[in-house]
Amino acid sequence: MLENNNQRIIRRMAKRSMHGNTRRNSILIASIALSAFMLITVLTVGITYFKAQRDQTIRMYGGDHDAVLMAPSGDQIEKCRKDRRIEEAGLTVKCASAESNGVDDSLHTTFIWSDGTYWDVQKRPALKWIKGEYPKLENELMISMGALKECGSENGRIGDRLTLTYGDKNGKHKKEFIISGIYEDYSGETAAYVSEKFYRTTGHKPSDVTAGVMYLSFSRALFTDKQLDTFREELNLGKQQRLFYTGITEHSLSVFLGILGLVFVTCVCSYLLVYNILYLSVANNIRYYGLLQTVGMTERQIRRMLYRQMFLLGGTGIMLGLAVGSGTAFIIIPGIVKTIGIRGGAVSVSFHPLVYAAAVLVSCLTIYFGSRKPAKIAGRISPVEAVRYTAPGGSRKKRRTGKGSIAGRMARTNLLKDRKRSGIVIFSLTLSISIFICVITIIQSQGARTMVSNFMDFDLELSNDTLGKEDGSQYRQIFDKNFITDLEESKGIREIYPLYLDEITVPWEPDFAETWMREEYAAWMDYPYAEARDEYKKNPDKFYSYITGIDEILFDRLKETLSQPVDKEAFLAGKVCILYRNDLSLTDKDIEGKTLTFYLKKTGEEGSVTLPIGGITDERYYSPYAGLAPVIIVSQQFLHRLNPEAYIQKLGILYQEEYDESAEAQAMSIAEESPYRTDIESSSKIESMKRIKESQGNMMEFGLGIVLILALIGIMNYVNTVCSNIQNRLGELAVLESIGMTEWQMKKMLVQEGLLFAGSSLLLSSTVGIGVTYVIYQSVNYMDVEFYFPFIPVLGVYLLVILVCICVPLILYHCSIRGKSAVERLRECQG
Amino acid sequence: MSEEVVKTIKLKKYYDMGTNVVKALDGVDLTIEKGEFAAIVVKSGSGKSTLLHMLGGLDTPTEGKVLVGGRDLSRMNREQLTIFRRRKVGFVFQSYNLVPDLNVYENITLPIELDGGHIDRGFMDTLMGALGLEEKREVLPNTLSGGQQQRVAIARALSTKPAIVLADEPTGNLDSQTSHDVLGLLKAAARQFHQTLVVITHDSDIAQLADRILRIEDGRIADRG
Repeated sequence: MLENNNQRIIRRMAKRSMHGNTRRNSILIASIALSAFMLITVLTVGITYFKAQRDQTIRMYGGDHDAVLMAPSGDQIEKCRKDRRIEEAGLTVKCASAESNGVDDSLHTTFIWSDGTYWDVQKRPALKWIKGEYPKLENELMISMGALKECGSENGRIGDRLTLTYGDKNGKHKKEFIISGIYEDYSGETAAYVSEKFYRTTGHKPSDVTAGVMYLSFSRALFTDKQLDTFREELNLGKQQRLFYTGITEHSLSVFLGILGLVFVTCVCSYLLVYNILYLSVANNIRYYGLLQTVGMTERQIRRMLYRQMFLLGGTGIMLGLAVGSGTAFIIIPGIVKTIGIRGGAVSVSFHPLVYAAAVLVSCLTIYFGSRKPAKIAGRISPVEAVRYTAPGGSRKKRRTGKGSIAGRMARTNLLKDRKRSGIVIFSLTLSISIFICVITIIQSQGARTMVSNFMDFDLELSNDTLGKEDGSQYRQIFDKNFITDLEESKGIREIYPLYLDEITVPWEPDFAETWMREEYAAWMDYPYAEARDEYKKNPDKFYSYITGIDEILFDRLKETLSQPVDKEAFLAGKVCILYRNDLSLTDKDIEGKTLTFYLKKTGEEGSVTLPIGGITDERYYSPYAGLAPVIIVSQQFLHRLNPEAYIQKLGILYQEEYDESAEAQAMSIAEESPYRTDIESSSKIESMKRIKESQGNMMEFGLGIVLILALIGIMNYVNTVCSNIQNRLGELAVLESIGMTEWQMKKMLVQEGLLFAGSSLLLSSTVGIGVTYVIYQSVNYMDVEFYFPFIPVLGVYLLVILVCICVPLILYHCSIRGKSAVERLRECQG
Repeated sequence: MSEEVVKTIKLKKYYDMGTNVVKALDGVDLTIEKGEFAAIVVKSGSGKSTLLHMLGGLDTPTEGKVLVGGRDLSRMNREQLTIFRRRKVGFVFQSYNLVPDLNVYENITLPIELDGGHIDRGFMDTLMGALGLEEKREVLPNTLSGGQQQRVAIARALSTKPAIVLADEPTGNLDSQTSHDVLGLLKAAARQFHQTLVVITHDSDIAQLADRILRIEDGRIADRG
């Protein structure tokens, strides 16, 4: 058969039909462009957001690593370095700790030795800035700003000398150090890195408990739980060794699936947008296609003509979308971020060529699949059907007479008339709202304020550092009556919760004391308990520990951390005590029916007390210092009975208003005025929040960027649908007006239709959407941040959706009639 | 004594077509009395619908006045005109203009419901019976033939018991047998319910059924029958 060369006429028809439908084509190009734009911006900004989140994790962990192995043995170090799954294995050893600079003898600065891998590769990304070189000589230090400040040399420079007393495995030493480098990180750590020569003198080894740490960076990004468990098993960990995975590693697969889910939903939104427009565009032109058939165009030719049009329009739309999307992602959003951002500095957006490839591919597939069905409809419709065609669907022959107001009935009928189309719009709106809820939930939950979770939500914690000194004679009651009264009288302070502390001795006994010590040595000490048992029996005072006294409110909080209930009355009356577990593998069974005998150092053996053990807690707040023997928690009243002058170790302070900077300034000035100001350590929620904000960079603003784009897409989709819906029904609306429907009734009907769309979408997103949000949130929540439902933004978006669903039909109706009389519109439609 | 229901005074409607002005109506003076069946015969393309639209307050004149039941339509705003239309005027369009999503009964009662009025079921049954629509009560318009659709349109026009029924080529889309049937029904129904009927047509045969025939040529009344 000879081929019928009809390409020319099809091309010409496609071109003509396009020129004749400028308005429709503009909407189509705009929708395709919007879809490509959405993919580009959401993916680019999304990648930037997650990169920023990863940066935050690196900054908060203080290094770029996926796992931490505590106290690694020589074999394990070797194994990790050779393991193909591990890209980098950095090693550090905490080899000494600074104790005094001659002025302040309660320093916290740790001396750490680090190998080149850790310092150059893993630590570097977590640093704000760095000056100088890593130490080479024995007396050189690479010191953090936090440590410099603590050592009283805040303005110290490279080359300055620093005389410090420090302790290592071999005892106490005094040495003059030279600063070879200074750095600042985002966690505000107080550390000084030392040379290998210095480290060799300290007597510490990587395998020492609490000293050696190996930081592992894996070569792959995704791990299943099984793979992580296998890796743990292969390391063959000893009792004193611990392997921690970072949150992102532990949850890598679920984070990946969560992100994939969000990307998929974004693609679905984009698909629905284009599909809806194409479908509507064909439905609007169905008479034209019928006409083409009457003049002899075949189904195939019509389909080809449509595809050709789509190719031209799609190409233009994609190009436009890519251009506008790139402009938005790389220029406008960073511009806005810079303008509204609190932080200065460069705003870098991650560029990924794959994003462009994905955007083009998804847009092309969307256009292809979106055109298939409408092209089929256009090709298959018979000329006669086409002439009578009013709207898609409508195969029903009968309809029961409805009840209620006519406007409401017509609105409902219109929504249900083309269920598929209404379904797509509702689905698309639901997706947009749900994805909005999901992203805003993730962003809000990761917000600096939500992430700061101090114990009991204290705004400020002040600690008495003298109690950490080895020499008990240096203990001071810093937080005396006057200090507390001054705080109480400060304007912005609401409550103060003191934590009392005293030194105790737990004498040896064959039952619980023996069990505890065995566990304690196995977990934390470098030598076996057998070597220490005799000494412990003879001189239990050398194996001192602490007792902490708490009030009723702190007890209520403590209660929540216990796996077995403890009688409050008995605790407050001093008839039962609670222990701090100290990471030992002791369970409730091990303490069941056990008692503990102890005496205060001050009262000596004569003051011995024996208390039943009611429970065991992991909450570190109640045990500021670790003792070799168990740390005991009792009621404040009971401790006062034993020693009315027990020290206040810590003050937990709540302000009248959270994050009140003036209250903090007052509290800090009281601390500054204290003669012991150098021995007061503070931990402030405001400062933590600032640090988190700093480590987050512009993460939040980028997240908000995604949210805004998604909201825009959802609204655009709805606008498109309502626009073509009203265009389609202009004739029907003119008829209604001609038989007596007033403008007010018309608007009421359109508003009711809008409200039905809004109501259905909101109902779906409030149920299924929020459920899915929770699941996605938990899967990407590798930092274990509490789920925080953002009521106000969600309420805001609900109101916005309702407002849009009400206003858009009214505005579009107003624009469509453009002041034309009902008769003019009737004439145009019957044209 | 006869009562004027519709009156036009020097009614003009000009359309500006760029280079020239089309005078669809050029000073039309006419009076239609209560209960009268008037046929206005207009040559196709000579502004026939324009006159009907003016009488029904669907369009505004370039000059002149339209008085329906003594009320000047030019003094009403859009809202008042719409309310006036649904209470005083019943329209029958050439292309039926039924609402596709509403069934026959809902289409017929639509103007009453829009007015928030009470539906007189007895009257509706009589009306539907007279037009042979009892069996089609819950049927959607797209399943009806042209003649049936036009009967629904007539029932809708009569449902509010308007002062005047305006029919624009009511048989334009129907074959000759159905045309006569429909027009006969329209005339009978108007009589039965004491309504004034104005039919615009270009078909002289149909015009013969009217009490009075008015001819419009070049925008003016040429013959008052």
